[in-house]
Amino acid sequence: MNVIFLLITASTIVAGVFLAAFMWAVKSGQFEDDRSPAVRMLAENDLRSTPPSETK
Amino acid sequence: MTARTGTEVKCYHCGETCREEHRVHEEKDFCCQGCQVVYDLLQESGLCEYYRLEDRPGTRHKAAAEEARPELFDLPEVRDRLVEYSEDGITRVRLHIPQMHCSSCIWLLENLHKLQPAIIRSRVRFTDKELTVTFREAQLGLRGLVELLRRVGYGPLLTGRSGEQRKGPGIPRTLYIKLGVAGFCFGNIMLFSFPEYLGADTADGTLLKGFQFLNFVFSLPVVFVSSTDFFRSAWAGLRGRRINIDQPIALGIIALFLRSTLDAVTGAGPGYFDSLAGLIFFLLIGRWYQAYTYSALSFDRTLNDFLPLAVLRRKGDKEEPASVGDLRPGDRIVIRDQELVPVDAILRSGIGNIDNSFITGEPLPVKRNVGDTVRAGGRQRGAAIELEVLRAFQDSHLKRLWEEHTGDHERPLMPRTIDAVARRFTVAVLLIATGAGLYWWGHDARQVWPVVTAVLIVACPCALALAMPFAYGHTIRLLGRRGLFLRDAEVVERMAFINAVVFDKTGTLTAREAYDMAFVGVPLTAQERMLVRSVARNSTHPLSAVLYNGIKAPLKDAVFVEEEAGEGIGGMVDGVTVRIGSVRFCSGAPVEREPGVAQVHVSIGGVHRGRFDVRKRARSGMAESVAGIGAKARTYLLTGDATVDGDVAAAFTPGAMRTGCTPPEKARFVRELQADGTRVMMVGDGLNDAGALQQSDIGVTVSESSAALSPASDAILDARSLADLPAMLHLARRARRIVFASLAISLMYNVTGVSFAVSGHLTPLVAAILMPLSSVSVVGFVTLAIWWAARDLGLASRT
Repeated sequence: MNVIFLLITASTIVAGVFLAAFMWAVKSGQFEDDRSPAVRMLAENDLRSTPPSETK
Repeated sequence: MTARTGTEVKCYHCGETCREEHRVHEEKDFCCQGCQVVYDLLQESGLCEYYRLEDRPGTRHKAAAEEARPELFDLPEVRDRLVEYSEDGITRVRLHIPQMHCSSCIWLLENLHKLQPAIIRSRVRFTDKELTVTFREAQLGLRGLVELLRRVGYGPLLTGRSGEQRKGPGIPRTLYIKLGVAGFCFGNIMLFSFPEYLGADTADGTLLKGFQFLNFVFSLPVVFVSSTDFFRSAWAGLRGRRINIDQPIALGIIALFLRSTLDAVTGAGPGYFDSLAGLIFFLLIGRWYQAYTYSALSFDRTLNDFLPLAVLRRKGDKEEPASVGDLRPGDRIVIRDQELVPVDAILRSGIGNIDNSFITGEPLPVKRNVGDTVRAGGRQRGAAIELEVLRAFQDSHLKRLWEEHTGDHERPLMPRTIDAVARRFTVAVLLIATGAGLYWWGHDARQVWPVVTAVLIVACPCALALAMPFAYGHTIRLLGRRGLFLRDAEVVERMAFINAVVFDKTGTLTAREAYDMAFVGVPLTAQERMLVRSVARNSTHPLSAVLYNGIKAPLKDAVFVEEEAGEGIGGMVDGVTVRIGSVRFCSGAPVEREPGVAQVHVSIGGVHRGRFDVRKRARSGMAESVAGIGAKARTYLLTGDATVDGDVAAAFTPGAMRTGCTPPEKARFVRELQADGTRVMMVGDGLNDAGALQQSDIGVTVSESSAALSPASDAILDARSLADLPAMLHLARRARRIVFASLAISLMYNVTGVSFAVSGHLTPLVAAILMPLSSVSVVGFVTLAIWWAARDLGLASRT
């Protein structure tokens, strides 16, 4: 039965990592502008086909 | 790629209807030279993705009259405000660009480096309509950047507030963190509580003990991080000797935490940690919903938002940009077409054609001659003028007008329903807890602590606290979709009490730039109409534009065109002299001028042919709106004009109209209405309504575009949605009734819970089921009911 303590510790740590990731996301402002990232994603492919350096 | 709806052709770039300047270029229709130029520019740089993301995304050049002149960006003061960072020739600036409105805008603004290699990176923050650009300043310069942006139709707005640190996003970051922490702990605690509820083999005591300990550990961040707002608000209420909804909540949280900890330590039971975490998680969701606002719209405006930051000052024969605050009496300033006069001044050269729409809502310009005074806030339309500063900005008429309004802010405070309910609720809870405690003291003293804490726990008004944010939050969203943007949830509640609505006329009920015109005199022949229209096309005066757009006739080229500012325009078409303008200009006999009607006289071949009477058109839906509101509330009309005519007058009863109102009189009128407890909504637009908007219980500004200048208010109404206003008021009233119904439901849950608690049967399992159940069902009921009410009133769909 002792293995469950190990499992719980492991799972809690994993969960904690996700919590930390969430906090990082909030602090980096990802929840503040929900419109432009969506558009940015759509345009990404085009950016790669003509990288800025190739234009005049 | 041409779009033809009927006979109308829409511009490929901006989507406006193509009129006379219509041109076809690369098989695409354009409404004007400007749009075509932008298209060519984007085409050359391989940026036509712009046109694929959204249909006709461009902004038309004329709409950008409020943009600042590029040379002002050379001013060190301006540069300092906008530059966030500058090192090794690499500079980052933050610009406010209210024109951005769609995916294509974002895309283009973030691909500026393709247009101009000196730009390294540009990023949009759409919610704030801000663009951050990193560029090599040596190669481009701030001014060059601004010129580039203007060329593609996104000239930045430069007002006193540009570059200032905003108050931050609508929803604070800490709220997200608190919500995240609470959700995280709630999930874990639920998992660890399951074995207990399922009656897992209790023989292995250490396992359950371990789970309890973990629950305790996870509850710590919930209590000490996530619920700080509730404690703070409860404490603030206590200190102010006011009872608010957060006090019973804070009491419940404390009771939950202490009881659970004690139970866990003494081994009396598993504790209520899951209920605790769930409670706070749900409450925070309510907070988050409530915090939803239209952060891109500014409801709090200062005068600096409207005025240009700098103007051109003439020194000797040189012109240099100077900041408005530095202008001293006697300075000479140059104001060009479409620019605002920032201070009171005397016209020294040129002819003033001043549009005071920002101050009064009246878009027709008035003429000013050399030596006349021009008040701050007027916009010049026509050739550049030179003015002598009469008073420094601090002493200007405009500044005084503004401060008069914002200085004494004596809005009668309306009691919030939730506070009134909370007061009774808290008293009742404390009475029940005391009563139950006393009862058990007499019967079984060991039961006092569990019963009292159980009462406090289960009576925690979670559902009560959720009902209002969800009901009003949902209403705000639905109204926003229909074009009424409210400052916050409290405005919905105040809206429900409104029983008088006061309208401003000019610019509010009448459209800013839509006119009706009628010809007085012997009707013009088709040939004459062609002559008039061909000449009118050469003038930028709004009345000429009305004639040009209103007359249906082909066009011919006019020669010898001469415009006399403020008087009229003359020219020759097909060898015939045509003059349009004032009576004098067209050598007609003076006629009595009807108030509110502008006259445009016409003379052809030197003979006065008659005149066009031009009157402002009432906004579509105006009559329905006023009539609809009139069914439930009193309606009044205030105007600075001497008389009210036409459709607008017909919409009101004669006694409910006040003419010739000065701005302070408008505010006074509202205050007089309020004297007997009437709740007044003021609907206005110009700065002359600002005082009345502040005085009223809800100030609504009517706006034709979200970037337009409008005074401070509680709500912004899209001019196209005017007809929906009665239904919107109705929805607010329904929302309040729905809140009351949901309060009844949540009280029912509380009564059930309390009956468990006083009898000593509130086990953790019962609490864990009852509390989330009540919250979820109340939120569900409220959301559905509001949606249903909106659908019933025809407000559920997007416009």
